[in-house]
Amino acid sequence: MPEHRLRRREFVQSTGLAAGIAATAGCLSGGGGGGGGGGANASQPPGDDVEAASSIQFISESTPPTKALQSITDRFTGETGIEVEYTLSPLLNYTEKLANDLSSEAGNFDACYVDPYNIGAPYFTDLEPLNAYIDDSGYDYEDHIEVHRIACSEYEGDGTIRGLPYDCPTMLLAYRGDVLDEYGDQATSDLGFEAEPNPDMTWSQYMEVAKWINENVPDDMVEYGTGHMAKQHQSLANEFEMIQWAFGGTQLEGFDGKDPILPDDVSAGFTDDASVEAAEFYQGLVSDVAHPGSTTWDWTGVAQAFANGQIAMAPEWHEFNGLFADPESSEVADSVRWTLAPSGPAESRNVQAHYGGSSIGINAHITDAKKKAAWMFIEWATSEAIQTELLKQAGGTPTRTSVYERDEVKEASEQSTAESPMPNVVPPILEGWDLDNIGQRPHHPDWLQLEQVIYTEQSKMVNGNQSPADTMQACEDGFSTTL
Amino acid sequence: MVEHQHTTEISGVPTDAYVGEEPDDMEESILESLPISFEMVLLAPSIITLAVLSIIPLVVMISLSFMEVSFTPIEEQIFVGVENYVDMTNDGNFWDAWKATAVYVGGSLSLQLGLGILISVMLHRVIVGENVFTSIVIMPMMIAPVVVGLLWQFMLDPTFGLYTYLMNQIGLFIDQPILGDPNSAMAAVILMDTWQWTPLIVLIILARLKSIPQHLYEAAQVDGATGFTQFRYVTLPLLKPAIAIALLLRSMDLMRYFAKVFITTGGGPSNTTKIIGLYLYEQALRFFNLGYGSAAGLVLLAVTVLMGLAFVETIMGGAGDDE
Repeated sequence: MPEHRLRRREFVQSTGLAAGIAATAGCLSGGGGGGGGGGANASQPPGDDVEAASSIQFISESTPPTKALQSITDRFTGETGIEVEYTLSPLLNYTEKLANDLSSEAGNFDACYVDPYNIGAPYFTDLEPLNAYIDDSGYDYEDHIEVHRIACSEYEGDGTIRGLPYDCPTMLLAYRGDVLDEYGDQATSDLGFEAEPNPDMTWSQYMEVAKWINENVPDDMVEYGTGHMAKQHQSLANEFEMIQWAFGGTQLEGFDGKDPILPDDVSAGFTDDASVEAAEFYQGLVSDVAHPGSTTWDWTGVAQAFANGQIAMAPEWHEFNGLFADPESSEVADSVRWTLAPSGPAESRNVQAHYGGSSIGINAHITDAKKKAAWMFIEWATSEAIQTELLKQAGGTPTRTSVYERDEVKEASEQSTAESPMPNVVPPILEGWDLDNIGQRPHHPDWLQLEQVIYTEQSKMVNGNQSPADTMQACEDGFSTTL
Repeated sequence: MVEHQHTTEISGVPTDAYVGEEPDDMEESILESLPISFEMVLLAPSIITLAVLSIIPLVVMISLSFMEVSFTPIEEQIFVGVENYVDMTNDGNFWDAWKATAVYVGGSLSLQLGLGILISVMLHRVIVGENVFTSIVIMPMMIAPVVVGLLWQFMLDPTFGLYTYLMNQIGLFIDQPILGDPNSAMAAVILMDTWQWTPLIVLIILARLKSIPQHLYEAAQVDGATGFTQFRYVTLPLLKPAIAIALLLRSMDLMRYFAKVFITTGGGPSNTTKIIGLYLYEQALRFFNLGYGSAAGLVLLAVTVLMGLAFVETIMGGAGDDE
C-alpha cells in the first residue's frame, strides 16, 4: 500500500475545491451576466425578404381575455399558418418568467403581455419599438383610446411605442342595486344626501352610507355596507392609491396620478397633509366600517364576498362583472350595478377610477422571422374584430374607440349586468377612462418594490399597529430608501 | 516460495504464465499507485458532478453578494464590496423577517416534535391495523405545500371557511378574521405546517422505536420501571439520534419553504408572517435585487448550517462524525 492515502474527508474537500476553482474560472472568463443595451429606439421591421416564422411563443398573465384569445387562436393559425404556443401563469409567475427572459436576452418568448408596471416600466428597452411596424402596416393605432396609449404603450415620453393596447381592467365602484332600491330612500332621508352611489358621491358620503347599511339593513339581506381589498397585497396599494389621489395626495413629489412619465429626479411624497388625511380616512373605513374580512381579501376575495352577497358596496376591478353576472357563481347577478368611484376633497384634481390596463408587445431579442410572425399575431389580437370577439366571450375589455361605436356594443352597455351579453361594458368604463376621471400609477422601473412599501405599511395601519401619520412617514422613508 | 514459470511458444507468440502465488517483487498496479483508494476512484465522477452542480451556484451567489445588480432599465453589475451586507444590518425589514422566522421555526419545530413523538409512540403500541393508521397519519405529507396553503385559506376564510365557522360557534374569532389578525395569522401558518409535516417526524421516530430491543424494556421492568419511567430513561435517550435527524430535516425545510405563507397571508398582516424565505424571494425574484438577495441568502445558508450543527452537537453529542 502507498504510504500516503487521502482520507475520505480530504478527498471530498479536494474535489470540492477543484470544482470551485473551475467554477470561479468559468465565471471570471465568461464575464457573467450583464447583457446588452436592449432594443434600439428606431427599430426597422423585418423586410419583405424575411419569411415569418412558422411558430411563436406568447407569454401572458393568465387573464380572462388571454384565455379567450387562446380559444380562438386557431383562426389566426388558419389564416397565417403560424402556430402560437401560450404560456399562461398568475401575475407574479408571469412577471418572473418574462423578466428573466427579457433581461437575459434569451429570446424564449416572442410575443408578450406587457403589464405596464411589472414589465413595461422596468424592461421597456427589451421590447421592440413598434412605430415603424405601425407605419408600414397601416395599423390604426390612433383608434385606441388616448388613455391606453399613454398608460401602457409608451414609456419614454418621446412617442416610442413598445406595446399595442390590449385590455383594461379598471377600478370602479360596484354596489347592490336591490339594497339601495329597498333602503335607499330611507337612507337618503336619514343622511341628507343621495344614498345610492353615483358619480357625485364623495368618499366621506360613501363611508356614511356604508355605516348606515351596517346599522339599518338586516343581515339576511346584506351584512356589511362595504368591503375592501386590504390584505397585505398589491390590491391594498391599488385601492389606497386611488383614494390618496382623490384626496390630493401623492406618492412621488410632482406626480399627480395623471401623467405616468416621471421627471428624472423624483423624490418621495406621502407626508403632505392630503396624504395623511387620506390615510386617516382609509384606516377608519377599513378598521371601523368595512367587513372585518377586508384585511384578508385581495381583489379576488372582495369579488367573492360581493358575489356571495356579503357586502353592499366595494371598489373593484370592473372585469369581475363577468363573475357577478354568472348566476351559478353569484347571488347578485340581478342586482349588481356600477358607477364611478367616489370623489375626494382635492380641488385641483379628480380621480374616480384606477387604471389597470396592459398591452402586448414583441421581445426585442428574437430573430427577424420571429419578429415578423409576432407582429402579425399582436396586430391580429388587438384588431377591432378580435377585441369585439373577446368582449363577447366576457373575457376582455376593448381599448379601441371603434368597438364602442358598434351598435351591438352600445346596446349591451346600456343593459343590466344580468341581461347584457357583454358584461364587461356594463360598468361605466368610458367615463372612467376619461382623463379627467382616471388615476394611474407612474412608469417607474422600481414601482413594484415601491408599491410593496405602500401595502406593507398600509397593512400595519389597517390592522391598528401604526397610526396614519406614522404610516405615511414610513412610506416616505421606504420610498426614499428605494429611490 | 516455489515459482512455476512456464514459457512456451504458441503460434509464434511467447506466453509467460505464473502458476501459484504472485511474486513479491511484482510491480504495483496503476490503481495501487494512486494516492486514493479504488472506491474513491469509482465515487469520483459522481462527487465531482455534485460538487460542480452545488458549488457553481454557490460561487456565483457569493460573487453576486458583492455586486449591485440591476436589470432595469440600464443593465449592469457594479462591485460594491460589502455594501449589501452593511445595508442588511440597517434594514429593519430584514430583521423583522428573522424575528418572524424565529417564531415560525421555533413554534413549528416544538409543536411538530412534541406531536410527532406522541403520535409515533401511540402508533407503536397499536397492534391491529397499524399500517392503516400510519397511512392515514402520513397523508398530509403527500400534498403539495401550495395546495395545503390554498386548502387552509379556504377553511379559514372569514365568510365561508369551515374552521372559522367552528371557531365562531365557540365564541372565538367573531368579526376577527384568523388570517387578518397579526397574532392568529402566525399561529395559523404554524398550524398549517404542523398539520402537514408532523407525519414526517412520526415516520422517523417510529422507525427508530421499532429498532429498540425489547429486552431493554424487560430489564427496566425487572428494575421496577413504570411506563413513563421506561419512556424517560429507555425510550427517549435511544430516540435522540432520530430526534436530531428529524429536527435537522424540518429546520432546514422551515427555513427554506414559504409556499404556504405566500399563498395564505402574503407575509401579512403587518409583515408578521413575512419569514426570511419569503423576504428573500421578494428581493431576489420579484424585485430582482440579486446582489442584496444573494447576500441575504448567504446569511440564511450560514444560519441554517449553524442550526443544523447545533442540533447534531447538542442532541447527539456529535455522534455521526466519521473521523
